[in-house]
Amino acid sequence: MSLPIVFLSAALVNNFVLSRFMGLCPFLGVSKNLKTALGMGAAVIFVMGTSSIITFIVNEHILLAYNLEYLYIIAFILIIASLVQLVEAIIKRISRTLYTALGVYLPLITTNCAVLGVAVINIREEEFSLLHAAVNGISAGAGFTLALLLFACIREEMVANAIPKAFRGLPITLIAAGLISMAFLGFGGIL
Amino acid sequence: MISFANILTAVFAVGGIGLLLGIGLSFADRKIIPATDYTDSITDRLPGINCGACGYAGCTGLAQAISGGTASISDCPLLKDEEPNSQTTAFIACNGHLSVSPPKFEYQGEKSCHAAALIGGGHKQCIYGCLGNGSCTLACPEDAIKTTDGIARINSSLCTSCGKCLKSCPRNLIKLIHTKSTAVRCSGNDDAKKTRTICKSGCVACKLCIKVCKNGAINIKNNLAEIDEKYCESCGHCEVACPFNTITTLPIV
Repeated sequence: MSLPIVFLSAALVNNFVLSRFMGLCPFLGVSKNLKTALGMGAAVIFVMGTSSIITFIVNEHILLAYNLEYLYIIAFILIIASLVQLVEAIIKRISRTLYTALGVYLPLITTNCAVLGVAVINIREEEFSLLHAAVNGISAGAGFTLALLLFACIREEMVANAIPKAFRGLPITLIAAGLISMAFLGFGGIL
Repeated sequence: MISFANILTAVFAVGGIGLLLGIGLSFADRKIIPATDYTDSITDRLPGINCGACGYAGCTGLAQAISGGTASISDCPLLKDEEPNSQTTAFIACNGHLSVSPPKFEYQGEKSCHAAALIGGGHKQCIYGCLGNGSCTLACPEDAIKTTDGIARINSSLCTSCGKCLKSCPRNLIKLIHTKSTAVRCSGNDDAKKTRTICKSGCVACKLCIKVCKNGAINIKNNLAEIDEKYCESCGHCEVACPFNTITTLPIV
């Protein structure tokens, strides 16, 4: 599998949020404004990219080497949690406002199924090398960021509109999410 | 079938990964970026038992609130029993000398602050500030207080901390504080705008001092910074940070 195809697949065709429906919690939680969404996206790209590389190495050289494949979830969560801690410490010191705006969603990347999902897909794909895994992780993060940014733009516009009372808040948000998701189905024929 | 050796390998593998990551994290925490707020050092001064009696989510929660200026370290009910420093000196909580706070009219009556305070709310523009007529100078048996330039100044090396001057001040500006401490030379409760118009050395409650205090000893109450002596180490960071020269570290020379 060539690297551009891995990139297109993870970022657009099999977009983690809009096609695989993983990581919906931060997708709905931090998409209220563009700036927060951008910060969250950057954090997720970093965590997904780095964790893809580290989990791939750990899986290859520790888990497979000692017949501990059954421990992959706990080992991966451990790695992801540490990376999230690192990101949290960095964001807290760089921008206190962003840290407060992201709130609980930042530590929640730890248990974000999209991040674990990337790591698991990396080791399940037979033909993946370390480079494939790294590209897959970063493009999955980029796809997540793209979805988050698109959705943040829509939500920022939505606030100003006259929405029927019954649909205000979460209902209209979920409907909009469904519509974007359908739009992303259009990428299905590319590959 | 899982043998004992398998379990041991699993424990060492996962434990090893965890240990490595932990070391990496603590290394990154110290090296990557220096801290810009003092939440951590304030947390160190708190008991650290997370009892929640202060109303915040544990000691870190209170430390964050202190660092953000919404709480004070005295909100911690467990820290109240620390021994205070016994050596004290009198201190005038006003720095409104004539060049920073010009009078609104010339007072020519009896040389007494009590008399001056009765006329038109005092001849100083600030209704909280020192009137500079020397009632405390007269009251001081040790000759430690001089009134010059429209304000009383205390020589803390002569002060015996008898407390006579405290009663002589009609505006209750004098208090006894530790000989080695940092204090706010302002008692005004006006808002920032008014304070700036009437006195160039008044506290405007900008919170810059709170941000630089490593011990979380500073708090804002009624538009006025308050330093909690129990927690102040007199490091002088707030004195440097104060843009209006309102905070001073004792002894004043």
